[in-house]
Amino acid sequence: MIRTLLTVALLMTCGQALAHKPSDSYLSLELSGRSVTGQWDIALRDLELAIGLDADADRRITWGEVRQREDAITSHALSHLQVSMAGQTCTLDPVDLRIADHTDGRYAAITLRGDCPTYNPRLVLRYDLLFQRDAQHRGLLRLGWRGRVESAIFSPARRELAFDLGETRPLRVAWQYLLEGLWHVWIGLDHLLFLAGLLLPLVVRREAGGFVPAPDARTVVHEVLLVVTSFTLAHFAALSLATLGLVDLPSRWVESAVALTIVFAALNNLLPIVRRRLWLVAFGFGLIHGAGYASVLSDLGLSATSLALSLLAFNLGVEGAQIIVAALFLPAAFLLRHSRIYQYGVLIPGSLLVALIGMIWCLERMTNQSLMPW
Amino acid sequence: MPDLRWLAAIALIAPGWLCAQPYTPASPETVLETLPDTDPALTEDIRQLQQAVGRRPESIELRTELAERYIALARQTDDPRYNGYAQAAISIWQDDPQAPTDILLIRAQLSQRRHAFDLAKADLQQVLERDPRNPQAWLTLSVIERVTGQLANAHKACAALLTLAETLVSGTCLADIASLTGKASEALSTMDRLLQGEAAASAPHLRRWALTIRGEIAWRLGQSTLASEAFENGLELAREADQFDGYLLSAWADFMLEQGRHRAVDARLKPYPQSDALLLRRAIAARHLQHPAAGEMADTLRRRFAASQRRGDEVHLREHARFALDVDNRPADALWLAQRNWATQKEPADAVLLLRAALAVNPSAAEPAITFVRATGLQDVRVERLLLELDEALSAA
Repeated sequence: MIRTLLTVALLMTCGQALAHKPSDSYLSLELSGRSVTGQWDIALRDLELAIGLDADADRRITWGEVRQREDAITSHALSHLQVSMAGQTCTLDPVDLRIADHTDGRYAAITLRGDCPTYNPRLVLRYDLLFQRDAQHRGLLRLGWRGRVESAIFSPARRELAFDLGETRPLRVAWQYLLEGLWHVWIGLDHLLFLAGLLLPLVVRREAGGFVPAPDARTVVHEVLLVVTSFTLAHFAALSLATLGLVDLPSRWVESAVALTIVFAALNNLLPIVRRRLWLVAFGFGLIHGAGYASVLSDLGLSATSLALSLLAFNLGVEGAQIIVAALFLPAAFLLRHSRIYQYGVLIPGSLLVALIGMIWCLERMTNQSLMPW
Repeated sequence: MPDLRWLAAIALIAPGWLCAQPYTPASPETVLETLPDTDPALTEDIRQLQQAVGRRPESIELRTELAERYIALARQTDDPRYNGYAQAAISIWQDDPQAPTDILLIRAQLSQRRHAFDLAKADLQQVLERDPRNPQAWLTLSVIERVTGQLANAHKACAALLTLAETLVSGTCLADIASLTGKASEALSTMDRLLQGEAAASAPHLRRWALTIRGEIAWRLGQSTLASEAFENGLELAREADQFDGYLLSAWADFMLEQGRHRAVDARLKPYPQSDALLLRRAIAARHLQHPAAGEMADTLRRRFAASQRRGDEVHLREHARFALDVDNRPADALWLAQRNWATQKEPADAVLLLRAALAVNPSAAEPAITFVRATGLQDVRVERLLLELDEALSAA
């Protein structure tokens, strides 16, 4: 009967969310090549259970008592955590011990640093802190590498977690960005118009009083690649600088400048100002275009490494799209370069149209008014 | 502008990791943590038992005793960590169905506490196969069957207690189930009889339990005066014994909130900021009272629910749903949580929660609760009122 009495009392608290939560530790590891850094937060309550902290047994744990046991704390913790790459154990040393506040009390926050003998994408983590004393303890892991973040939970039934750092997912992410770059050019009238402005005259140049067709396909391809690539490189550089917050231009002016570059490119086809080294112009314009998109990317809170990868992929996409557009347009233009149809039916009106749209854009962006239906 | 929504999605996939910023406390005297105020005798017992287990790890008796001490400590301090210690003390049997009966019983209780109802049931059934006259197994089983909405099974388990436990226990158990299956008035008079009769001789905490059940039945029948009286009497018993009764306090608080007595709830629950369930009720009251600390209470609860979710616990689903609905103003989340909660828990409070959340977001989502309530014949003024409102909402749609 005594047992029955006990149980009824227990049942009364069933289903009630209790005062403190069960025990957790928070382990955050960041891998870079073969080096490991991290922070491990372990509840002082749990350390008291595992190794004893309350030296004067007054039921209160002070910072002094924690400091006194610093070595015991870190060596206990680190003897219950193992990081290895392809079976080779990595070193793991405490750098620092401070305090962190969590919802259910104060934790010892151990800063960690270590090295693995050789890099291998097959990472295994073994964790068995406290399990022997507390079957409901959980180790909450956050693992970061090359911009990727994964979280997992250690429990008595799952003391070992394996990760494949070389898994295809980062590549999938990069692939996504690449497609996004392609798409960016495809749906961005900015880019297409600007590209048109730059590509139209590559097959036939306007000189004083007449048109000079390009001598051969080789020259054209060479010029196109030079223009498109220098544009992309500059675009990449500016986008990177702005996204990382190193350069911060007011978007209204940048957008207006983007429109101006379109106007300039188009007018340059009609009244040439720059004849040689068009790629230099493209580079300068790429800088301006790139800065225009940064505000969007920088708001997303991606880590620096994942941003770098993403930016690279994004710009490769931009480059790819531009080359595709050029490849679709140029063969026909090349063949038609001697004809008056191209010179007077495409190059001049096309450049005029591009210049017109660019000017309207520029006005719109400077005045914040919408003049066109898109 | 390119569509960057998927970029945002990637940023979101990276889990919200609240890695606390570490700092160095100002002085060595800074008190960082106060250990729970435990009975020194009990703590000493545990220390000795722990050592004894170290010397004789195979001893069933020692491990059972140690686990029971930890469970007592969990009750005393209201701290779930001790459940984990208890579980660790008997973990050498892990999932072994052949574990000794005492171990199975402890394991079932611990499973039940973390809402692993199926595991708990399997262990209890194992115990009952070996010993069909084990009162504790039947009682725990009846509670699990009740919580999970298996009311016929719950009734069977309570009936088994008739010859195995004192009348107050089996009677309360049976009356409670009867009240949920269309015989609430009869159940209420049964409870009156039980509490007036030989119950005077029963242990105070058993009477407290019976009073809680009586209060709940009276409340469901709309008899507020009777309900209030039963809850207050129960709380008085807890006070006399100087014992914390979270279940009773929550039931009382829900009743009072329903009556609009927000001030009383705020005052009485103030001493228990550690309890999520009680802080939740107080936060609801505070919101109505436009209490200056209402926002802070909500923040605390939000952080606690997040921490609990991160470790993968589902123990808080009911409270979390209620929080989303009544404090945080996120009815859509509340409905989702209430639906997940309904998948395992089917007490009247769970039905009320699902009905309310559905009413706020999508009345047709109430369907599972409506079916259940109609099938069991639950009598509950709150449920009846909600069903009417849902009817209106559905016919208006």
